[in-house]
Amino acid sequence: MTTAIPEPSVPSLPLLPTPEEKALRQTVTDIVTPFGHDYYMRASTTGEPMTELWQRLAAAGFLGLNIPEQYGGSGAGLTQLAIVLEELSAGGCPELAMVLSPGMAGSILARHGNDEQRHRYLPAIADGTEKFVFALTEPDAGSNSYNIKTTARRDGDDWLIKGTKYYISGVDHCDHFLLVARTGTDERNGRGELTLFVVEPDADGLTRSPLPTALRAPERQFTLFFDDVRVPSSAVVGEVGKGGVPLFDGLNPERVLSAVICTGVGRYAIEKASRYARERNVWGVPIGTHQGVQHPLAAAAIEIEAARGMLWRAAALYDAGIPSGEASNMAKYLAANAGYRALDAAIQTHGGNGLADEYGLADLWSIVRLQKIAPVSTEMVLNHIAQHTLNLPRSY
Amino acid sequence: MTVEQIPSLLYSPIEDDLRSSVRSVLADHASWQSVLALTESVATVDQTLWRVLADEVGVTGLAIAEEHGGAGASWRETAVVLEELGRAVAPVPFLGSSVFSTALLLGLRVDDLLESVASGTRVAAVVVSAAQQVPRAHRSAILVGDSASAHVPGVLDALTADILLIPTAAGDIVAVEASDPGVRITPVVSLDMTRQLADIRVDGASARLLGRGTAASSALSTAWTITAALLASEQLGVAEWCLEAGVGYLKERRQFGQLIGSYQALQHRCADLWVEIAQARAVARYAAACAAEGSGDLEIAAALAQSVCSEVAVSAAEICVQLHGGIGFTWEFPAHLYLKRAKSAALVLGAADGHRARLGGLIDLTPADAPGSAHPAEEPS
Repeated sequence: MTTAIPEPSVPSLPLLPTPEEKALRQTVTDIVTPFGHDYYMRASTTGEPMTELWQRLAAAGFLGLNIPEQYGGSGAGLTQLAIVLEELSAGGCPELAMVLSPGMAGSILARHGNDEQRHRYLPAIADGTEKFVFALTEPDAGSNSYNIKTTARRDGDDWLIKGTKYYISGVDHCDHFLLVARTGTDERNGRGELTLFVVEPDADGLTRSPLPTALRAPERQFTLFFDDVRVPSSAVVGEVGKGGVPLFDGLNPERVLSAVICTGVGRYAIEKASRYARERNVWGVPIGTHQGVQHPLAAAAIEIEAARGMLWRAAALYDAGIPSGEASNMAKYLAANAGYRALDAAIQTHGGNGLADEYGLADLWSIVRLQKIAPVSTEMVLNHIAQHTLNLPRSY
Repeated sequence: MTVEQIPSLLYSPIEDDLRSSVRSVLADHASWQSVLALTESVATVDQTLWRVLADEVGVTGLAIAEEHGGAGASWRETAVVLEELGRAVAPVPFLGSSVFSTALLLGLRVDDLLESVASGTRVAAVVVSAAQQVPRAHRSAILVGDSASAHVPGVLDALTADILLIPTAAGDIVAVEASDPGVRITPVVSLDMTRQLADIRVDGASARLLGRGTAASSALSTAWTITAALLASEQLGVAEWCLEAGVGYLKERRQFGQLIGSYQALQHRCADLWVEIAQARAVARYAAACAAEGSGDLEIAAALAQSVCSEVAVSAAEICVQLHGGIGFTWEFPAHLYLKRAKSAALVLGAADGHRARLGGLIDLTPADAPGSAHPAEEPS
């Protein structure tokens, strides 16, 4: 019997954080701690972006972790970007812009942008001077992206865009956004042929109106109206009519980054609640003495760790260029549920204080709850796993 | 709810008296040690206990009028007996004979058979597979002239039956004497050996026609619904025993120098279960009252009671095992008997999911073309 020696070609995950990972986490913690959750709350109230924090992250090179070196990033990977966002979230500042700008736009442009687009946009994403958001969802096309009605039609060398998008985050904070539009219909199945465009938020013919939501985050939600918005042919990202490919390449990083918001906020909540349960005295003992208080927090800690196990695997698969859809979906599902339960247990531990702004918990409820709906709903994850992992009939 | 007046869900003084008589008989004759011993024996039905229940307490004919040899009470009182039988996981054919067969004979107005079943001198069984969503006659069940044949698996409370009531594929209902040379009743190894199922083979036995056509099918369907409604009370009894046993154990078992009942994690679980059992009691009592009054709400009440009580009983039995730790799954402790009874009761006379689907249609929640609106029942082959 011979000892099994791992093949060097088999991608693997370390069992313990490497010194580099520890250092990275510590550096992010050092950056976010002086800001703290109060900073996030103030930005949520005013609707201003967390600019100073963003600039500190950019200066440390943390916005270009997943962007290739030749375009101003460090080429480290999605894993490293996710580590940064998890630590930001654990520090009370879950930065949605990281998901959209370096996370989605950075991934899509690096893989599918042409040379000119990469040089034009990636360095600016990496150094934080320009920010992207993402415009996909429509009133009649939420989870069913192929059903979008916003169209782009050729006009000479240009494209004219017409239609409506809604629930588009942070348009007022962005310099550009990636738009998914329909440029044709597949006659065989009636599905839309999609194309991605880079669009400027101040383009002629584009208007927006705020869409009030319960989300307490610096990013506001908007409805966008496109009335023959003209964009040049150079704005097309990837191939015309084949936008599904870059779109789905952006969705896996989005799932992973959405997952770390949940695990980060979950860690933040459990840490706060454990401290409170040790200190708060009722009937002569710390409330943390009671199993009714301990067990929900312990269960939440277990679930958060389980979700993290899956999400680092999903990120590593993506970085290794291995299909990561299944793992990303599983990670997102586990993390959304775990983060939600952790925050809920922390709020309950705090009793009445759990709802006080001073304790910085309840205002995070909406961003964690959101992750069970977006970027993909828990139910759509189950559909995906049922269909693709279990080979069951498509149910939707 | 289509009824205008909600019947009382409380227990009357007469029902309380009945309960204590039955409980005391069961305490004397159906200790868990003796129930456990019977499950490991060849004859799993407690005939002695059956005789005592029939002759001394007189509970086998509660729902039958006095002029037909019964006690002239109703399904409400019968349900109280079932609660107690459930608490003891008593191995007697009460559900199959005193409820299912009795309800069928009442529906078909077969007075002479009713009389012998009411007195408990004869045990009857309805020959349909117990684990169906709706009571379908087995396709092998036929009547030719006055001779019946049927091969039906998984029949409830048939091991000691004297009379077999057989619905035929053609829609008739016939009676066959179990002593007929053409009848073979074979016990099957069952999950729940406190209510062992049997496979029935009838080959050319002499048969008496009891009913046919819509009268027969409607009697069968009503009897099945009444039985499902009353089974909920037995499940309630199972759940109540499980909670009591669990709480009792928490009050005596010490770990780490203190009673384990002092831990919130266990207290809260018991408190949650108490809430579930209170809900189960309400729907079980309502179902029994609807059966007693012949209420138009019976079908809804039965489906509701089964949807709730099947799951509460299983959940209570599982919690009971968990609260007892290692003791909970030793053979020499009765928790496993209750878990198996809870599980088998959840499967016979329609499973909870099927009852929910049925309920959806009955209370106009299910669109006509939805998958849940059709009965998923398949006749076992």
